[in-house]
Amino acid sequence: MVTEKKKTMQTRRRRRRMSPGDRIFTVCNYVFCFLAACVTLYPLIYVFSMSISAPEAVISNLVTLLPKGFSLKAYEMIFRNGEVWRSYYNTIWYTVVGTTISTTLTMMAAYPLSRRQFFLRRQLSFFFTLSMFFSGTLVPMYLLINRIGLYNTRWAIVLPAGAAAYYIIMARTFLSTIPDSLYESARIDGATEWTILRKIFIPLSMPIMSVLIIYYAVHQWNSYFNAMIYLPGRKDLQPLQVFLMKILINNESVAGEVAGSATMSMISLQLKYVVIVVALVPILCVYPFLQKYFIKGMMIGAVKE
Amino acid sequence: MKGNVRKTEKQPLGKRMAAGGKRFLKNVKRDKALLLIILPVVVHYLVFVYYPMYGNIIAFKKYSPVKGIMGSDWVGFRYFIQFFNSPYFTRVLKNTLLISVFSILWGFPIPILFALMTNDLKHGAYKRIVQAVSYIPYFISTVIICGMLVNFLSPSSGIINSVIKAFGGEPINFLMEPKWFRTVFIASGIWQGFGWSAIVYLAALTGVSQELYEAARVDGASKIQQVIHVSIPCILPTIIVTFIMQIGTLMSVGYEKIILLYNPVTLDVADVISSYTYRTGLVEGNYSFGSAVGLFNSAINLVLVIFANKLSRKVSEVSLW
Amino acid sequence: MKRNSWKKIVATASALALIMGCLTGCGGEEPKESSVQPSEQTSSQETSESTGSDSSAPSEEEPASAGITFPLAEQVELTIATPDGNVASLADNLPVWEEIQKRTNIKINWDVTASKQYVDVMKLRVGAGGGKLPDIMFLPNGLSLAELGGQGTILPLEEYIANSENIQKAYEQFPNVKALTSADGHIYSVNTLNESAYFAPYSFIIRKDWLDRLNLEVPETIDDWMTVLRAFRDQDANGNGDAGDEVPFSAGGHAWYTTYWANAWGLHLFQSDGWYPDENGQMQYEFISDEAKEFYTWLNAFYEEKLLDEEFLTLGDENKLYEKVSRDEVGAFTAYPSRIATLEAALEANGVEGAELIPVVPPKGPYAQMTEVVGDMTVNGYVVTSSCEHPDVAVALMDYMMSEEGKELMNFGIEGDTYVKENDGTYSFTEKVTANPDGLSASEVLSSYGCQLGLCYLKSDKREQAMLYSYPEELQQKIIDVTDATRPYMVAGMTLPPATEEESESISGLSGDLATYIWEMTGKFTVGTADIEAEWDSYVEYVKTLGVEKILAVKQAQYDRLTSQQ
Repeated sequence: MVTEKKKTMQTRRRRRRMSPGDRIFTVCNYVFCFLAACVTLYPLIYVFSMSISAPEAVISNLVTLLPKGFSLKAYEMIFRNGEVWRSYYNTIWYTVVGTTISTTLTMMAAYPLSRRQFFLRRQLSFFFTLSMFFSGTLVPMYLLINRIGLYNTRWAIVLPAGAAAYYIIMARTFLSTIPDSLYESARIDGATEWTILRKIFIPLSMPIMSVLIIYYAVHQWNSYFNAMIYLPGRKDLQPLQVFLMKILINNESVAGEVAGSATMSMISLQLKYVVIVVALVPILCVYPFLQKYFIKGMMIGAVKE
Repeated sequence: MKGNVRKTEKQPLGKRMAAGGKRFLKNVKRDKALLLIILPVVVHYLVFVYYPMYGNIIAFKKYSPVKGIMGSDWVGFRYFIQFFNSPYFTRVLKNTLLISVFSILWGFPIPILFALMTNDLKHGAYKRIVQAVSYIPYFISTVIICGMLVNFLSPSSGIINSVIKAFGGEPINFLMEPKWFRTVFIASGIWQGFGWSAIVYLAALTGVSQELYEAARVDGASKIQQVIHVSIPCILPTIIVTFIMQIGTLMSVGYEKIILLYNPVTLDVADVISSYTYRTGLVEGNYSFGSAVGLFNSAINLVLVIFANKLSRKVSEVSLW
Repeated sequence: MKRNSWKKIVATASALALIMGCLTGCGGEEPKESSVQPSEQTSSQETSESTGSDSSAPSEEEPASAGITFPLAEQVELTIATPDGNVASLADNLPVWEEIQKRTNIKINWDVTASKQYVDVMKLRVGAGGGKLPDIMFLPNGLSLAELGGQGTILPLEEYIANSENIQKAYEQFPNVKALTSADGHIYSVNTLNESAYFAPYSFIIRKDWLDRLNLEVPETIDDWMTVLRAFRDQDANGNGDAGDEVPFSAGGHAWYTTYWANAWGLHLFQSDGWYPDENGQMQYEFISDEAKEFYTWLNAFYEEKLLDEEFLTLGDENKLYEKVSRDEVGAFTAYPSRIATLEAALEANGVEGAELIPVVPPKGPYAQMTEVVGDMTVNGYVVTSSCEHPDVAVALMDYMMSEEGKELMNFGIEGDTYVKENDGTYSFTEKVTANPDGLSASEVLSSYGCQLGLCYLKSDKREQAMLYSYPEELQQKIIDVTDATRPYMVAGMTLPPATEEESESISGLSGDLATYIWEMTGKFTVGTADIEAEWDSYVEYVKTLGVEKILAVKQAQYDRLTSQQ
C-alpha cells in the first residue's frame, strides 16, 4: 500500500496552513464527534442517575438526565452483603487469568498465521474460521469438563474460554500489516524466531493486544453461565455476575405470593441500575490504560526501516 | 498456479504423495518454530472447540435428555424438513435477511467513519474522551437498553414523541407500527455498538505511519483526500476481513433484543429465525429442532463466507484463509 | 501457494484425526455411558418387578415406608437438588431445615442452583448422564415423567406411597393429583399442593378513590365496566386537572393479559390456554369458538375506544404496569390482590393521597360470570432418582413434609420464633416477621428461615390469612369479603396429566406454531390490523391447518385419563 513514489517524495516541511475545505472538515469532525459522544454518554448518565436518585423518582419516571433526589439505599443493599467482595475477587481473578490465557493463545495463533511464508497458513486459518460456524454444544462440553477434572475448579471458567476464532483472525490481519522485511533483516542479523517475537513483534503488536485484552476482559467480566454449570458446589468460587443475578432475582416477587415489603419493591427497579453500575465501573476503569496504545503514531519509530 | 495443481494431479498417486510428503517434511523443518508456537492453540481448539461439536448430531436425532446424545434415536432430516415446512419459514427467513442486510448496510460503515473521524481529532484529551465514551452503551445490558427504548418511544410520555409533538406532528406509536420496527431495531443496534466496533479500526489506524500523511500533505492533498488515499488503504485489510466475517453472520440475528421489542402486531416484520426457534424451544423444549435450525444457519453462513472470501482474494488479495 | 493445498489439508486433517482419536480414546467414557444406560434400565425393571405386583414376596428390605418412623434409628444421608432460595441459600443450614433434619435424623446434602438457572443446569446434568444424580430432585421443566420413568432414571413411587399416610390423605383432599403425577400407570413424583389456590385469586383491581371521585359504583357487569372506564377516560379521574393523562385499563405487555376478560364470555383462554372440555367431556379449542369471535369484537371496540392502554403490548412486563399504576395513571388492571398493599404504598410515596385499590368480583358478561383459578398443584414435583439408595426413606421424608408437622414448619417456620399458634387454631406471626428489623417483608423473613423451600409441601390456606396482617383492618376484611363473593364464580384452570411419549411425538412441533399464530392474531384483532368480520373464517381455517385436531386428540386422551382416575 505504501508506494515507493510517495516515500521518495517525502520531504520534511512545516505544516502548511489549513485550506478552507480542511477547516470545514475539521469543524464538522469536531461537532460530529461531540454529538456522538453525547449520544453514547447519555445511557450511562441515565443509568447512573437512576441508581442514585430517590426510589420514588425512579418509579415515577422523573429521571431523564440528572438524578432527582438522592438515595444510596440500593447500593447499601448490595454492599451490605459480604459475599459481594468475595465475588469481586473471584471475578477479578477470572478476568485477569482468563484474559491472559486467551490473549496469549490468540497471539500464539495469530503470529504464525500472519507470516506469509508459513506453509500451513491457509489451512490453519480455515481450521480456526470454521469453528465460528459450528459451535460446540453444552452437553459434550459439560462431559468434557467433568472428564478432564476441571469440574468445580477455577480452571473450568478460564480454560475453555480460550482464543476466539474471530479475534485470531482480527489479530492476524493486524499483524500481517507489519512488513516482512522487518523480520527478514532481523533474521539476517541472526535473531531466532523467539527473539524476533520478543524484540520486534510484541512491541509492535501492543495496539492489537490491547484490543484483545479489552474484548476478552469484558467477556470474562460479564460471563456467568459457565460458573453456574461448572461450579455448582462451590459458592466460594462464584463470580460477581452470579451474585448480582441473585440479587436481581431476589427482588422479583413471585406472583401469587404476598409481595415484598413496600420499600423493597420501590428499590427493586433501582437495583437493576445499581447492578449495572457496580458491574460496569471497574471494567470502565481499565479502558484508559489500554487506550494509550490507540493514540496515533506511537509506532512510527519502530516501523521505520 | 492453477495449471500446476492440475498437472500434479495427473501424476500417479503414490508418487505425488511421496513428493508431497517430502515437501511437507521439509516445510515442517523450516517452519518448526512457527509450528511449535501455534501447536498449543490447535490442541486447545481440538479439545475445547472441535471435540464438543459432536453434540450437533442431535440435529439428526430425536434428542432426549434422558437418553443422552449418543443414545437418542436417529431421525435423519426430520427436523430440517419440519423447519422448511413450517408455516413461518419464509417469513422468518425473509425478516432475518432483511434485518441483517440493512444492519450491515448501515451499521458496517459507521464504526469505520467514526474511527477515521476521531483519529483526526487533534486535541488528545478530547479524542480520548470521545473514544472512551463511545463504547459505553455496549456494556449496558440489552434488557435495560430495550427498557430505555420503550420509555423514549412511548406515544404518551416518550422524549421522541414529545419532540414530534413540539413540532406540531402527530405522535407515533413506534413499537406498534410494523413499518418502524426495522428502523428502531437497527438504529438502536448501531447506537449501542458503533463505538465498540470502532476499537479494532482505531488499533489498525495506529499502524499508519505519520510520514505517509506528511507525504500526502506535500503532494497537496486535502484532509479528505488524506483519509481516502492514506488512512483507508492502510486499514483496508482490517475492513475487508471484518466485512467478510459480517457476511458470515447474515443468518444470525440474536433473539434477545427481538423478543424484547416485538409484539403480535409487529410480528410480521420482526419475527426472525432465532426468535422463532426460541419460542418453539420454549414451548416444546425441542433441542433437536433448535440444533437443526442452527446447523442450517451455519451452513448458509459458511457458504456465504467461503464465497465472499474467494471474491475478496481475487479482488484485493486479502482473505480470511 | 495453491500447489500443495489439498495435500496439506489431508496432512493436517490426518494429524488432527490422530489427536482427536487420542482424545476420544483417552476420554473413552462415551461408549461406556451408552452401555451403562441399558443396564440401568434392566436393573430398574428388575426392581420394579420385584417391588411390583407381588408384594407378598418382599426382598430382604421392607418394600415400603411402612416401617419407617422418625427420627430414624440410624442416620441416613439424602442429596436433594432443588432451586435455591432467593433470600437465603439452603446450603446455609436454614432453621426450618435444621429442625426437619433433627426431627427425622436424615442428613440432607443440598445440591442447589439459583432458581432462574435451575432448569437449564439440571436438564444438562440429567442429559449428560454419566455422573451420579442427586437422590431426590425437583423435576426441571421440559423433562417428561414418562420418559425418565421408562428409562429407569427415576423410580416409580406408588409402592412406597401406598403406605404413606399423609400423601394418601393429600390424594383424598386433591383428587386430581394422583393422575397428574403418574405416567404409564406409575406415580413418579410428589408435588407441592396448594390449599389456598382459591384464596384471593387473580382478579380485576380498580381504583376505589377514582370511583368515589366520579360518584360511580363498583362495576358488576361488562357494560358497567365500560361506563366506568369511559368516565375514567373523560373526567379527569385522578383529579390532577388534566383529563387526558388517565389510562382507564392497562395490562402488562402481552396479549395474554387481555384474555382475562374472556372469562365473561365463558371462555377459558386465560389459565387453560383455550383447551377446555365442553359439557359432554369433549375437549375444545376455545380460541376458535363463536364466543371467541364475539369476545374479540368486543375487545377491538374496547381498544378503539381507548379504554385499553395503547401501550398494552409494548410495556414489556408486569413490573412496568405496576410502575404505571404507582404513577397514578391507571384506573383498573388485573393482578393478585396481594399486590395491593405494595402498590398503595408506592402511590402514597409518589404523593397520591387517599389512593385505594380494591379487588372486584368478576363481572357478569354475555355468557358467564366466572374467574379461572390456577390449579392447586405445582406442575412439577420432586422425583426420586435411580441413584438413590434409600427410596423408602426419601418417600418417607416427603410424606413427613405433607404431615401437620411438616406443614407447620414449611408454612409458618419455627414455633415461638416466627409464629404463635392461637387457641382457635389460627396462626399469627411474631414481630420478627411482621415488623422485621432488617426491613424484610414477611415472606422474605420466612423464606430466610427455609419456609416453602427445598421439598414438596402443603401450602396452607391459614398462611394466606395470617399474611394479611400487614393490611389495614378494612382491606383485610375487603379481601376476605371479595374472596367469599368470588368463590361461587371460581373455575379451576385445566391441568392435564403428562402426555405419553407417543402422544408428544404425534404433535411434536405443532403447539409452538399454533401459539405463535394465536397470539399474533389476538394482538391484531384487538388493535384492528386484522379485520375480525373479514378474516375470522380464514383464521379458523388456518388454525385447523396448523394441526389443532391432532393436538385436540392428544388433549382428549389426557383428559380421559384424568377423569377415569378420579
